[in-house]
Parts: sequence; C-alpha cells; structure tokens
Amino acid sequence: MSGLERRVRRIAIFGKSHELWPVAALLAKDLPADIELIVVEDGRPVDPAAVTIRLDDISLARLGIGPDQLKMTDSAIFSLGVELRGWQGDDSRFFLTGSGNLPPILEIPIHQIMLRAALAYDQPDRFAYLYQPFRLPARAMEAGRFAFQSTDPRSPLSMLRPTVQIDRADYASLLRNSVTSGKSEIVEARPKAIEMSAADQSIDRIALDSGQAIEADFYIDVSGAVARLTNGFSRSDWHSLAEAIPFDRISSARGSKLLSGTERHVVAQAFKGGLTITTPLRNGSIVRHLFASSLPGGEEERVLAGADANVAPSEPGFVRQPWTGNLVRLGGASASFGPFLSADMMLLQHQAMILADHLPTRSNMSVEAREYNWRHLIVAEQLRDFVLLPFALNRRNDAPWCRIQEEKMPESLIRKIDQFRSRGRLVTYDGEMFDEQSWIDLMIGFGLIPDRIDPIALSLDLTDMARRLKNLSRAFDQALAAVPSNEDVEP
Amino acid sequence: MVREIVIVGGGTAGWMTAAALSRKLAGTRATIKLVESAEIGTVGVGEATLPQIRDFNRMLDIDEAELMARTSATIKLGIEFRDWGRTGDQYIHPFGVYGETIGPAGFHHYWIKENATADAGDFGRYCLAISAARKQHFDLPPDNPTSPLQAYSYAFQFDASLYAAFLADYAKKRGVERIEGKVVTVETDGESGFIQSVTLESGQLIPGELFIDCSGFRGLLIEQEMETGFDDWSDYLPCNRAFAIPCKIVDPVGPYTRSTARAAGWQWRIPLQHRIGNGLVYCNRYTSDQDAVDMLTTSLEGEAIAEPKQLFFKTGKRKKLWNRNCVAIGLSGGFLEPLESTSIDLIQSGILSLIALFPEKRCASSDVVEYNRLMDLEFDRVRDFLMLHYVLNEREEPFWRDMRNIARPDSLSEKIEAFKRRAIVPQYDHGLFQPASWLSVFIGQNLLPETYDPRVDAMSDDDRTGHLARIRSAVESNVGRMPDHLAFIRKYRASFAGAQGGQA
Repeated sequence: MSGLERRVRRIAIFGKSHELWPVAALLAKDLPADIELIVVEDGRPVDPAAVTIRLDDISLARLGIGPDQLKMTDSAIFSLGVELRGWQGDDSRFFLTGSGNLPPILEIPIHQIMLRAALAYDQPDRFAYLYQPFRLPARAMEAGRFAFQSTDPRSPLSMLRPTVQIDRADYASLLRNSVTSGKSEIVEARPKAIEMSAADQSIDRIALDSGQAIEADFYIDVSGAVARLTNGFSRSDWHSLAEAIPFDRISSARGSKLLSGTERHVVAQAFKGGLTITTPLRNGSIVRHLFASSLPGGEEERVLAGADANVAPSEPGFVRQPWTGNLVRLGGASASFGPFLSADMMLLQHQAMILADHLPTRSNMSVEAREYNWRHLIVAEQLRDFVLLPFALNRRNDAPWCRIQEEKMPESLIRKIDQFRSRGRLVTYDGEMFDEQSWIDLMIGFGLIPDRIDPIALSLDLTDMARRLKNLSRAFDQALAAVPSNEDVEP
Repeated sequence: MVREIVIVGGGTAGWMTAAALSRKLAGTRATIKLVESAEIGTVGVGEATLPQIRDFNRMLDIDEAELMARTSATIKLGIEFRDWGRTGDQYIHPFGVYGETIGPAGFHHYWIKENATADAGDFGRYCLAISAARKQHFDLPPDNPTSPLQAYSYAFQFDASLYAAFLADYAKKRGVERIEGKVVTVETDGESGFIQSVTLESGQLIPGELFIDCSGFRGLLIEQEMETGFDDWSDYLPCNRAFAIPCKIVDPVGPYTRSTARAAGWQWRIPLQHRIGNGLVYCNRYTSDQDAVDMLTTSLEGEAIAEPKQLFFKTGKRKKLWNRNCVAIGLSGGFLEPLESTSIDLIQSGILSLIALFPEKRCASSDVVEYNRLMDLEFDRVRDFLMLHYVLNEREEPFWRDMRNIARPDSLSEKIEAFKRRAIVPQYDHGLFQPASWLSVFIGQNLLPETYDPRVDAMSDDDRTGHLARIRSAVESNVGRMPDHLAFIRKYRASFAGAQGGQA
C-alpha cells in the first residue's frame, strides 16, 4: 500500500429524511468502530409522499426490518402490487405484481402455450384473456385479497411478493431509530460551501449553515445539496428521460380518502396530460400528481388533486458517473425516476447496498468508484427500462400519451419489446431487478401479441397440455380462495 | 417455422446439436439430417467438461450413470493448476463456493484479513469441492443443502468421441438421419445469400432451410461459403498448437483435471476410467514441435497407448456465429484453447441459444442479432477468464514473461486492478465463470489484495478466527463422510465396460 494514501477514517453523509436514512442506517449498522460516520441531516420537512417497497427487498433484510417493525408505524399497510388505471384507454385496469417466475410446463413457458392456443383458434386477441388465470398474485390483488408469501415452495402462494406502502417520513423515522446511538454522530444542518483540494479535485471540507465544518475522507450526497455546491459536476453527465416521460411538474398532497376495505393498493391513474399516483396508507392516503405544465388538461387535473398541493419541477433522468473523486451521489442526487412504481426508492435501496459493498478504504478510491458507477448504471438502466415499458406501450389517444408512443426508447428496451413482439421471448440482461414474470405480464397486459409461436411450443401435445393447464388453474383457484380478503387482514 | 435442418459435421458439436434438436423439436414436423464423413477425423475437443453439461444431459433425460458407463467418465470437481504462479505452486479451481456468509462482507474478505495476521490456512480448505478433490472423495451433492458448506457441483471427464457416439445413438433413435459423405459444393440463393443445399461427393443433394455448421476449424459453411470473417485473438491467447496422447493409468485417479505449466505452454491430464488423456498446448513462437512432443511424452505417468497426435488452432471466433441461415456451433464458431474445458460448454451455449431463438424460415434479423449478442458476450467473458491465468503467472521463461506483459482487454485489466486494490470480484449473470472461479485464480496465483472490505473490521479477531476454524472443520468433516471417488463410480453402477459395452 502506498504510504501516500490516507486510510478512510471519517465518512460524512448528507441528505434529507427518507433518502438519508436508508443509506445511513445501513452504513451505521455495518461499519467498524474505527470508522466514524457523520450524518448531516437536512431537517426541514419534506413534501408528503409515500414509498412502496417489496418485503423481500434484500436491503430490508440487511437492515433487520420485517413486517412486524413496519406494522408499528402509523402509516404502513401491505399490498400485492400497483394498479395501472387508464393507460390503455380511460376504462382500462391492469394489476402489476411481483410474482416470482411462473413455472414452465414441460420446459415451455405458460405464455407460449397460451399463445399457441390463441393462435390455433385464430383468436390472437384472446391471448391475454387465456393467460390471465395464471397470474395468481394479480388475481388476488384484483379480488381485494392479501396474504404474505408462503414459505412452502410447493404452494402457489409462494408466488406472492407483498409490498409495504408507507409514508416516507415514517420510513425515515423507523430507520433513524434503528441506528444505535454512539455509532454515528448526527448533525442537523445543511451544506453551505465546499472547499476543494487543488491537487486532485477532491473535497477537503464542507461548511454547514450552522457554522460548523465537516472534514471527512469520503462524502456521500443523497439529496443533491452537496453536488449543487460543486462546480465539477456538470449537467453533461445527465441522461434525461424527459422525452419519454414528458411530465415536468410534480405535486404532492395528503388525500382525504380513507382506507377502503377492498382497495388498498397503489393506483397509478393515467389521464389526459398527466399521471396521478394514489397511495393508500393506514392513516389516510397520499396523492402525487405528475403533469405537463404546457398542457391545460394537466393543470385541471392538478387542481383536482388538491388545491393545497405543493408543486415542484420534475425532470426524469440519471447520471452515469455518480462517484467522482471522494464524493458519491445517491438517490435524488444521482437520478430521478419519479414516484411511479416507487422507482426512486428502489434505486436508492439498491445504491445503498452497492455502496456498502464498495466502501473505500483509502484516499485513492478510483477502483471502488469505477465498480460503483458500473453497478449503479446497471440498476439505473434496469429501472429506466421497466418504468418506461408501460409508457412505451400505452394506448391512450390524448396528449402527451400518444406522442410517447412514438418516442424512441433505449436500445435495451427496444430489444426486449421487439423480441417479445416477434416471438414471445423475454430478453434478459445482467442484474435483472424485476421478476421475469412481471415483464411478461406487463407486455401481455399492455397488448403485445407475439407475431409467432416459439417453435418449441409447437412440440407440445395440446390434448395432454389442456389437462395439465386445467390442473394448474384449479390449484391456483383453490389457493386464491384461501387468500383472505383485505377486510379480514389487519392493515 | 424451419422444417428442414441440416447439420454439417458430426463429432461432439454435431451430435450434441442433433441430440438436443431432436429432443426439443420432437412433435413438430421438423426433419434433422446430419452429414458426416467417416474419412474426416474429428478433433475430439475437450474430454473434460464443466458442471453445465449436467443441465444439458438433464434436458435430454439422459441417465447419468449410463452416460458415465458408456463414455468411461470419471467425476470432475475442478481443475488443479500446477506451477502457474511460481514453480511448485498448486491450486484447484473448484466447482463450488468458498466458505459461507459470516458477516456483511464476502467470505474471502475475512480470509484475506485472517491470512495477513494469522495462519488462515490454504484458501482451498474452505471449499468442499477442493477438499474432496484432494482426498479423491466424492458423493452426489445433497438436493437441498442446509449450508453453503454442503453445496458444490460436478462435471465429467469422459471420452468425447464416445460421448458423441452415445448422443448419435440417442439422436438417431429420435429420427435424426445420418448421411455419410463429404460436402463438395454449397448452393446459395443469389438474392438472399441463404444456403439452399449442400451437395456431397456422391452427387447427393441435401436441401435445407437452416444449416448448422459443425465442420470444425475450417468452417465449411460459415467461412468457406459465407465468408463471415474471423476475430483473431492470437494476440490475447497466443498458444496455437497442441499434441495429445493417451497413456495407461498407474495410480487410482482422482476427481479432477490437472493443468501443469510448462516452458512455453501447459500440459493437461484428464483421467478417465480406462486411460488418462494427456496433451501439451504451446505456442510455436517459443518452442519447437519436437521439443513440445518430447516434453509431453517424457512426462507421462504411464505407458503411452497411442502415437502423439498434433493439433493446430488459432484462438478467436467468427465475427458472427449466426449468419443468414447458417449457425456455427463448435470449432467452426470459435476456439479459445482448452485451459478451462470451455469447448464443450461453448457448444452447449450455442445450442441452447439456438433453441431459445429457433427461427422461422426467413431467420428474423432480431433473432440473429440477439443470438450473436449472447454468444459474443459468452466468448468475451470466457476469453478474459482464460487470459487471467496467463497474465498472473510468475514464471521466468520467455513465453511466460511475455504473457505477463501481453496486451489485454480493458475489461480484464479492470477486473485485476479491482481485485488487487480492494478484493472486488467480478460478478455477472450471463457468463460461465462466477466469483468463486475468479477467486480461485486470483488467490491461487498469488494476487493477494492490498485491502479488504472495511466492514470486516467490525468483527473481533477472535470471532473471525473462530468462524474460520469452524468452517475448515465442517468442510473436513463433510469430506470425511464422502466415499472414495472410484468406489462411488462402482456404487453408482457407472463403471466403464469398454467402448461397445452396455450399448443397446
């Protein structure tokens, strides 16, 4: 080891509430005593918002948080997924759930079998209808039922992938309280000025608005306040998604809607000019509203969302190199995918784990930075593609939705769509974050009908297959009947 | 969909392809013809395999014991590398993981710290597959291991020509038509460039819609006819010749392949049930053919049972492994030298990707592009892993000094630097070699990281030492309960009964 390289002994993390604590709590939990963690919290209130997190998210397990801890908050409720309403016309509904991977029959994916059945009767439009019985988690959600994932791998209910919907302030508070006192120093302040090293463009110290100054070996910025103070982080690294998601404003408001017995899931409602995301919570609901300021329809809907809603600019996109020098940017400092599918929180949780696995040990941290940036990019592109898929496949005929249909999507997503449209095959890449079934469900549910049957599916004996499918469908029906309704489940 | 499939070339690649397609396309109206000539010898790539071969056999519903008995197979738990770091060094690249989770950092980080301050013991002692290989023990892995310390996989060391023959029987029973003859001309469509038929020396014309080139290095269809082009990787992997020779067995054979570094290349030793396969891979710029064959024949452990056979090759791959309606599988598609037994696995990857993207008659360009993307990724990652062995050597012969300084892809340089600086191990979903493989070569060839994950320091020295001792003990205990490798083969009813034995 070069004697010129300092060991990393002090790490400072800056951010707000729900962005700060998922990262800080993970680091505080794992760091050894000889590395000091300074948490600089911007204590100003944040706009009301909720986040949705899958209960099998690895970061929750690493933080030691399970349903029991979540239940103790005021807002958390459990659900099975998100409803996409109005994306294919005003009356359309689609239930998007995690579902693990649907087991194939004789090594043939079930959607290929149902495609063959649909095409055999020259009824390609019935493809989605024929496939629907095998979407057990989505059916449970649509029927207003809920259960936790079965631990018995033979049970169809092992396909369930429940999520928690929680007020992001509650989530932050839960994580903040999990940090053992004495393991880290918590300062409530905001960064005010940065002193950069002339030698290597790294950060020497950060002055706070409280008059204090923080000197650390490594700086973590999760809300963008540090990055905004530096000159070195130009917009040239920003990869904008504004063309594909053309909503430039976002509003947040607490909804008056009380938790209904049957409908507890998040609803992402598309409409002319925008998208409203309503997240039911135990103590109310939170409505976030994305709209295009240039479209009058969007403004009208914004008003409907709540007169007291806070409105902020929104520009979806991400940076490719969030770690430069001795500063790494996470969360809103590195990307913005918006509230749809809680993509921002999903990104942050992944980033936190990647960072924890690549914490620097010395002042020269270029290797860790390269690895982190590479992995960040994989996550960001995965999220981007999954979030963009329903936008790309939407079938609305009003602005700006119809224009989005014509937008050029990223190559990786185009390949996924083209392969599925051509032959019903799902292309996968390194680091897939979403269940294969979720991709397939979305594509089928949004009207993609493959042009041809996979030749391997032609080898099946349909007579025998009908019996197998019936058995499977019956097993799913029985499992579904055993899932309690939302009214019978404690929120 | 494609109805007429023509495979040109038998051998391992041809018959693996025929067997897999006959299985997966059963029930369709597809016909499969395989053209081969008894006059053209096969190269007989790789007698050693990787664990993925078991997935392939499972896909075909092949009884594993029967396969082993028919092909003289032994079990393979990994590859032992001798003298690849410094002379006298040895390590095993296992088909299993190291250690288990004992904290937030990867297990190897804890070993690295322990190794720097105390006697952590050889890294291989934390891996069940390595410990079992060294003791020449083997048993089938448990279906549901309760601990990573019980988890490992295995492959086979078999006679590749017998494997091809076994699969030929399998394929012919499922309707594959074998046609004896040499292809002399290839007819293509003037407009699309698609191959329409091949004509044999006998004058027989064989039409087809999809042609699979398994003709070996020459690439009869993919190169000689379609002029697809070749990415020459000799600058990365310069070994270009080999001698192969079988010898008699002297001592009981263990469940692993051996690779021993030599002055201008390396020597393989692959034990089967009835003989040992040996070979010397070398670069002719650094040694003569005569010196190479002398080196090989004088280092055999048993009496030679055939004359040495010389092989010539060039490392690299076709620019497109699927071009129009022709797919190159096996040596016609590319070759990356046999160091890590990847040849048969690359055949398998080609077949599985072809099945996943099995085309309609026009061969949609989206299928072709996707196939080539998947195979390029596979070849690139295998290439980097193979190069790693060479660039980390610490030997002093001119060949090895040059290999240390050879131009290398950025993708490899970054992997080496990441491990050296911070013990970061490559990790990806699509690719043959996973973190344990990379770790085995990094550590086995003496690349010890300068630092480790700082979270390791959150565990006390005593706790860490205790965990490591417990893991070593558990591994030894598990290995101790396994039977002897050859006893397992007998008990599994997998003993070889001769080349004709046990055939239906």
